[in-house]
Amino acid sequence: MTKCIKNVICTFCGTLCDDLEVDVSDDGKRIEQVRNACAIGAEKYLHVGNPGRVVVPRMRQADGTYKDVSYDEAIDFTAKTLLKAKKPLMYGWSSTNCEAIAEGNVLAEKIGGVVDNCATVCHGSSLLAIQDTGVPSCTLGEVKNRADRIIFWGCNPAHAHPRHMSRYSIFPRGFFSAKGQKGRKIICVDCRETDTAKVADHFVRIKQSYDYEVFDALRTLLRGEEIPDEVGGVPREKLQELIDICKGGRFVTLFFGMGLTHTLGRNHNIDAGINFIRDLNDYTKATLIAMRGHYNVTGAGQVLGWQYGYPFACDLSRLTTARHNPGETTSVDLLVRHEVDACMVIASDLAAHFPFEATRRMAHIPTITLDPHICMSTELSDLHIPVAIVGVEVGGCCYRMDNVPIDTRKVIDAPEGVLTDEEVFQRINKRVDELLAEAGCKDAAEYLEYLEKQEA
Amino acid sequence: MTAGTPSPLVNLFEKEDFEDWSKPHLVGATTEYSSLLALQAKKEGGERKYGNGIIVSVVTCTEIKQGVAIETGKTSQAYFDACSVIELDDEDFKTLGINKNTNVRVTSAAGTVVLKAIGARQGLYPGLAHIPMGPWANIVVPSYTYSTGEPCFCGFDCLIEPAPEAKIESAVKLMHEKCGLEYVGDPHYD
Ligand code: SF4
Repeated sequence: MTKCIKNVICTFCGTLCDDLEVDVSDDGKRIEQVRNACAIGAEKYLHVGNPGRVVVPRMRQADGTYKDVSYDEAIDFTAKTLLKAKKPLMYGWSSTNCEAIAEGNVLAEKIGGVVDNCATVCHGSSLLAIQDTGVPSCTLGEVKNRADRIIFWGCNPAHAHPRHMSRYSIFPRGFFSAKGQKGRKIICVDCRETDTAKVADHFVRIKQSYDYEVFDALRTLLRGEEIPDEVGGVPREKLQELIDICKGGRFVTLFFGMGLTHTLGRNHNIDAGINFIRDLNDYTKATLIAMRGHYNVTGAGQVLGWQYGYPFACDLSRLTTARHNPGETTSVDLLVRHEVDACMVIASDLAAHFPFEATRRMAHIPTITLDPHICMSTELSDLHIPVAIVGVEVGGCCYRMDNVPIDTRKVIDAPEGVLTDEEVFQRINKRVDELLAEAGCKDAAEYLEYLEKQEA
Repeated sequence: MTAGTPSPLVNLFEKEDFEDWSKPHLVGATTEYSSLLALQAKKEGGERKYGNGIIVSVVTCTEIKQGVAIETGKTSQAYFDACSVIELDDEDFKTLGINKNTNVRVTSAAGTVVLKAIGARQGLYPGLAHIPMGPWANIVVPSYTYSTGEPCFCGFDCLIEPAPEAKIESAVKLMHEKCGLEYVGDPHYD
């Protein structure tokens, strides 16, 4: 007999679908079946039981092989490495719950580290633009119930957020959008004709990296001014048609993705996008939402935001003040410029998603990775601490892409002895306190002096 | 040029010794950035051919196959199949004079990697190529961030050359080799 757990929250992408049904075995240890999830979500739940799961920490030996160690040894090693480092980088956070992030920030503050989350390589530029310009936004519920004009710009939900279109943006019938897809006009702007473009009513192909120009042209048209015959590979008539469609709607929502933040212009593209939406509000109701990738990258920014005032790239190495200077305190720059001397990767895969120049630096400094699975980062780090999977083996608060907090659920037990992210951080914190007390130091800076004296 | 010989552009991108702390590391990839401009200049000249290869603008994006494979495991065959490819436009296959599913050497200002060239899964245009996000793509992604923290994941120029004999490395091996670490074999993949 299996028992069915309803309304499970999928912890993979920023859509955070909350209607999954998961069949688990009677002893609550195995997942038998997953319903309602997309291909990625289903794989996430079903592969948990695959053989080869790491259940004890692994330490890299001098010859490159790995040796199993106990959690105590692993935590001691981590505490000492972080304390010894002048400026450790603590990167990741986007695939764990907010409770663990808060606990991790306590540690970062103690050891004087730089805290940075995945936004730094995905929507960091959007956050910069939002700081500059503000953000006329809404929740996905409003989109579902009200929106009749949807624009996807530089994003590809068909691949990256597979159920986004069916739950919120294209197909669902809502209170004021009873006709569902028939009542909506979908526009897709991209340099590739993506699978999202194929389901859109209007596909606008722009030349790669011409987003800023096209936004600008749209704003110019909206104000009734003249533009050249062609902008960024799009004819003027097409742009005018877009404006007419948007103006004719009751509620416009622009979803934008990394097609805007990864190309030339970065935050200025988003700036232009936000201002376009703001201008559009003279004619109709218009909003925009960033398509956040990892399921809790938004939460990582939220926690960091309410604790230190900055959503990413927060440098706590001065111990008393938090600093945020994109280009200086952002992970890629810190690694490439060799400014950090130890690295902790938490619930994200730095080595698989950073440019190689940064990864190479990470591989050459002491690195500790907290991840439930084997990934590129674990294979390049000195210590891999396995943890329970959030949303499967432990619950916790996560933020959806529209900044709505959702409490995720536990469906099965974690393998015996495996700790959660939060517990690991609590124990590292305790160990750091012990080490400081033993040395009679009040903070990490004093501890560095103490170490220097010891060596001399 | 025959397959297997290094690309003429590679020495253009000779790096400073990365372990040498005495040298300034001001803007990580300024060197790359200027050679990127050199490539760009070539492209603006209207001529995309270079030697026996072509210069294309590359974007790296997520894909559902890659997403599923991440969950299967980053050392799995599925991840390898999903990510160690480069999508080219049909027109570019003609210009290169190769068939689909041939290995090519992709060189950017940041590095060189061997990938399998496949037909576009999602519509491209001539001169635009796509590599799914992952370790292979990141070898060629320039790390210059324009002071935002975000590297050039989309819209950087690459030279694509046919390399039918060259082998595509597994993710872990590739990373180890490029990082100058000893590779002791990957129990999950080899
Ligand atoms: S769309 Fe995202 S959150 Fe929803 S089931 Fe798929 S992976 Fe999970």
